[in-house]
Amino acid sequence: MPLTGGLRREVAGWSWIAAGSLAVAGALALLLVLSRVPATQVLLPWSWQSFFYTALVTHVILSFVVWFLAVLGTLAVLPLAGMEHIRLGAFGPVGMWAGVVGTVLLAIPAFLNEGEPCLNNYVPIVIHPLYYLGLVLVGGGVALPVVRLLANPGAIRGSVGFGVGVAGGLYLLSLLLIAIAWFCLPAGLDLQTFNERLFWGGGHGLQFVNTALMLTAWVILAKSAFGEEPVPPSLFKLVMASMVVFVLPGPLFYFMYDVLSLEHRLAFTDLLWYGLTLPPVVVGGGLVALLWRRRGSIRWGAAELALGISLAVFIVGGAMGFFLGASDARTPSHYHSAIGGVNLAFMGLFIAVVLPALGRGVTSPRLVPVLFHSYGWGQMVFSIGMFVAGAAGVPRKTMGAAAQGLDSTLKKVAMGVYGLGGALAVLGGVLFIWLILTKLLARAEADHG
Amino acid sequence: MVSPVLGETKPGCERRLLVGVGAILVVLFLAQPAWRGLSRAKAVQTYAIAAAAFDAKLEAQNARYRVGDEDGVPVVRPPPGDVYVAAGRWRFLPVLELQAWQAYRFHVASEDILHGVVIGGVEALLVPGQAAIMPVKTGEAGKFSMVCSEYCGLEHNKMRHWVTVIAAP
Repeated sequence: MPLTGGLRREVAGWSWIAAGSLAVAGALALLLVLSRVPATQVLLPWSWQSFFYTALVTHVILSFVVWFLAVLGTLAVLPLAGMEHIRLGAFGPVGMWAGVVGTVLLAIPAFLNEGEPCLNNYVPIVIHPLYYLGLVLVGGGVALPVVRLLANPGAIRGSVGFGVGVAGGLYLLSLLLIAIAWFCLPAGLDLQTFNERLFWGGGHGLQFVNTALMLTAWVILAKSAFGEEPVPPSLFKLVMASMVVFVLPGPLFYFMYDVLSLEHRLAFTDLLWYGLTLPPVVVGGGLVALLWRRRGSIRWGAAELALGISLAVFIVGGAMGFFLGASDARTPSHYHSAIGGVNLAFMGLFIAVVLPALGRGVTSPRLVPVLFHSYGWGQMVFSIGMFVAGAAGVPRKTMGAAAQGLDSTLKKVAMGVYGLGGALAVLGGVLFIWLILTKLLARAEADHG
Repeated sequence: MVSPVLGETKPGCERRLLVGVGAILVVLFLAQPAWRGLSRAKAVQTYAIAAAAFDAKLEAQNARYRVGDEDGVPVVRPPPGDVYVAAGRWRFLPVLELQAWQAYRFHVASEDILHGVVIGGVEALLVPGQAAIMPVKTGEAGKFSMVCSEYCGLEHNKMRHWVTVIAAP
């Protein structure tokens, strides 16, 4: 059922934030490449050395944090469709516009080449007033529709509403963890350490949010593709609620352990190990069973492709997580594959559900399979190449043959495979952004035409 | 009620599935190391030491056991026992050459901000003003690494230090 009125405008707004943040992140990725090529780096209007890390931080915040939060913003609106009376109705549009303004502000320092970059985990920072303001606006902007959803219990009774409600609750808890860290951190701390520890607990909470959103997206896509859910609703609600139970004690960790201690850091790392393993196993297992039972009659449309490939890529990423080393490329291989699985579910969500809800369904029969296959398998090959390279000793977050220590054939072949997969994944990502933006632009033309 | 995932199986299966998954979740929740105060960090001892005092020990070690230089950094070959290592943005000092099949006690301290160090899978956080004691038993001749495990700035991932183990004379 297409959305109407204010809710439709909100979903369109969050879709613009989602697609816009990915598009700008993609443009920054291109500039990052240009900034490292001697022939093209002279064309940039600023020093490539200072631009590189600022652009990298902005690329990550837009493609990793804002994109995921825009999905939460979108999903926090959908369960309200069809409700006659919505409590705290104004929270939705205010939050959406705060998200739009915040996203623009986040990107500005990189294009002005201003601010000090900080590549801390989960929520990397450009130390600049506009960036911090953008972060607060995006963070608060997403919180508003989440609070509105939770204030309307009728919208969170079904599996999908419950899943989004859990993701929203986890998001609010993550914000609380960041706020507590802010108060616990001592004054005068080095800013790199400050940002790392400020977002450590909340950043772990956000990984629960992302997982909750992916599992909910799987349910939405399964219902869309097969008319049934991967697991019984009661089981789905149990494993989703368990994630809240695991994160709820997070604030206690700040009182149990010094915020700058190793114990504090490990407590949150363990939270992922213990709290984030079973829910994807249960829902993913149900999904495997569902796909197996329907194997003879699957029509591989957007929802089915997104489900199948997302599941495969996520499983590979999850398995890699059990074989990590210290500071080598196996760590990014694990999270790139896991994030790839999450991204595929969200891409499927936009193509199979959100765009049709906006009255702009995707009709191209050729583009959609190319998009999913190229992004999904590209991401998997990319991650496997990186994993093998890491296992052979290639350190993470380094560039160039010397820094990476590419002194064996295995390392060189693995990095070659990694590059090939990366190119395929980029192609799929570009196709997705192009598809969403053209559909959103077409909608605007239709509305005003 | 017929469960969508279980197809034609008995309704009782869903309840058993719920109870089973619920029980595993409860066990996982209670089993978190955080509750027991257990941590891999507990194995590492630390002691308070002023930066100047640690520097003095480091300098004395470097002056006594220096065997050369590598890119301006002293290469030191201390005997089995106490070894002093300074961590700073974004390197460990000095370059070490140790004897094979010997026992050492690394004293590692940060000289600027919060760093971490991992040696042979054991991790310690390096809080300025404290030194961590990490026992190291060398094996056969070769190399092993010391890696910073706490984000400490843009070059953090390059903060990897190789220790050379040489065959006993």
